[in-house]
Amino acid sequence: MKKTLTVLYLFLFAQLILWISTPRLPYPKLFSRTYSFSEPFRYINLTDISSSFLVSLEIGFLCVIFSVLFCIPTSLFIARLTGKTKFILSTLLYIPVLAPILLPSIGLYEFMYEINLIGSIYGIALAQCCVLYPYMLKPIEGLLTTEGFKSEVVARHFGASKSETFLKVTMPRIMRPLSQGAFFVFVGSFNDYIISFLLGDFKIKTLSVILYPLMQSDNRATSAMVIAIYTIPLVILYFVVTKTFKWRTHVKDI
Amino acid sequence: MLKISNLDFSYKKPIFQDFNQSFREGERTSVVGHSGVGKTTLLRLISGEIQTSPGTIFLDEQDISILPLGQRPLAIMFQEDSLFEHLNVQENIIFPLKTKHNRKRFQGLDHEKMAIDLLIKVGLEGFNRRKISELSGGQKQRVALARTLILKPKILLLDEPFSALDEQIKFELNTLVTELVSEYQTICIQITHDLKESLTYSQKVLFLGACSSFNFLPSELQSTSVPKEICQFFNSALLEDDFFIPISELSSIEQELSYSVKCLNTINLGSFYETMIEYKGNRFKYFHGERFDKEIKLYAKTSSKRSYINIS
Repeated sequence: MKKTLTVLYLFLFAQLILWISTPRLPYPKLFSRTYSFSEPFRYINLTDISSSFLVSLEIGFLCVIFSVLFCIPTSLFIARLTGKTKFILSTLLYIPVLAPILLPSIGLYEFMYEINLIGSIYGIALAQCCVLYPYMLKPIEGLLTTEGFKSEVVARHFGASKSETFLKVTMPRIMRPLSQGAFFVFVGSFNDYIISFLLGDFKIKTLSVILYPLMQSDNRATSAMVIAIYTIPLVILYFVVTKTFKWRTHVKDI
Repeated sequence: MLKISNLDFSYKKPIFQDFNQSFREGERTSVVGHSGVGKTTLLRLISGEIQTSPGTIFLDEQDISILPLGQRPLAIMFQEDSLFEHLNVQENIIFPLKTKHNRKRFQGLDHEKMAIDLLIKVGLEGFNRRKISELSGGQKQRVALARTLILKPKILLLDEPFSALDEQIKFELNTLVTELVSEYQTICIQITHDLKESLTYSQKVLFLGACSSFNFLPSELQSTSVPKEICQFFNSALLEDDFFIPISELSSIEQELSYSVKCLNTINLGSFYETMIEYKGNRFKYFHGERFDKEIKLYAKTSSKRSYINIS
C-alpha cells in the first residue's frame, strides 16, 4: 500500500514537472518536442513569491494560534454538555464551514473595518480563524466526547491541581486531534484567497493573492508552477506533522 | 477507622438519608445492590468528587469531608481503562507522587525504585518501560492497582475494577488486592456487581437498597439476621450468573471427583458451598450443599438452557 501511494504521488509530481517544463500544449502528441523551465518565470517573480510565501506562513501560524486559543476551551466546554444545548451550540459553532466562504468574508470585512484591522496580517489571520476554526474544534470535541473526562477525574483524585491536570493529562490527550486540526487550519489559511484579498486591502500580499490571478492566465506551465509552489510545502508539512504527532494509531495493519 | 455519619444526599430522588456506616483498617468491604441505588455515589462522596452536605466523614477522628478532591488520604481505581496512554508504565505509577498536593510529601524519595517495587508486588517485574498500549486488560488493571498503592493510601476505593476481566485474572487480582489490603492495613471499599466476588473476597458486605443499607459478614448470609430480600437477591443472582455444564455429564464428573480431582479451596456462599477444584488440568467451581440436588432438578425442569450445574 505504501509503495503504491508513493508511486502515485511520484507520478502526479512527474506530471506536474512535465507541465511546468512544457511551454505549449503538444496536442495531439502526448509529449512536447521542446522542454524549458523558463516559461512560468516570465510571469512569476521569485522575490515577490518568497516574500509573499513568508507572509502566508506568518498568517497561517497566527491563524493556527488563534484557533488553538479558541478551540481548546470551547471544545472542553461543549464536550461536557449534553442534550439539546449541546446540539444547538454545536450547530451554531459549525455554521462557518457550512456557509459559502464569501458570506462570512463580507461580514468579517465590515467587522475588521470597525476595529481597524483592515490591511493587517492580524486582521487576516483573525478573520481566517473565524472561518476555519471548526476544522480544529471538531476533532478535539469528538475525542473528548467519545473518551470523556475519566482521566482528568483520576488525575484530580491523585492530587493534581486543575492547571496540572490540563497540562499533564488533557493536553497530551488532545495533542493528536489538535495537530490534525492545526494542519487543516493552516492549509485552509495558506490556500485562502477571498479573505486575504478582501482584508489585505492590497497592502498584504499573500501567496494566494499573487498566484491565483496567474492561474487564470490560461498558461498551463504557469498554472502547474503555481500548483507546485502550493503543494510541495504542504506535502512536506504533512509528513513532518504526521511523524511528529504520530497520527497513525497503534492498530496494526489487518 | 472510616466513619460516615448522618449523610444525606439526593440527585432528583433521595439516595442517602441519614446514612451511617463505618469501615475498619485491613478490612475489605464490598458494596452491592441494584443499579441506581448510589454505590458509585457513595465512593464519589467519600473521595470528595461530590461534597457531602449534610453529613460528615471521619477518618481516625479527623473530619475529611471538609477536604477537597485530591487532598483526602485515599486512592481510587476505576473499572475502565483509566491509565494515561501518553505515559509509560513507570510514569503512570509515579504520576501521583508528582502532583501538586503530593510533591512535597514524596520529595527526595527514589520514585523509580518505589515504582519497581510495586510492579514486583503486582507481578509485573520488568514492565516499567512498557507502553500502556502494549499491555493486556489484566496487566493494565495491575498497573492501575500499583498506581493507587504508591501513595500508601489509608482508604482504597475500587469502583468495579475487575468487572471487564475474565474469571482467572479476576481471581488472581482479587487475591492480590486481599493480600495488599491486609499488608498495608488499608480500608478497602469495593463496588461490585459480582456477588460471588463480594462473598468470597470481602470481610464485610454492604447491601445498599433504596435509601437503606444493611451490612453483614459473608458467612451470615443465610442466618436469620439478614433480611429475606437480601438473601433472595444473592441466591437468584448467584445461581443465574454462573456458567453450567450439561446435567448428563454430572454423574461422570461426580464419579471422577472421588479420585482424580484436586480440591483447592471451599467457600461458604450462604445457601451452598463453592469448591474450587482442579480437574484434568482445568480449574472448575463445583457447587454443593444441602440444596445442591434440588437446584439441579429445578433447573432441569424449568428451562432447557438451564439444565446444567454450575461450573466455570
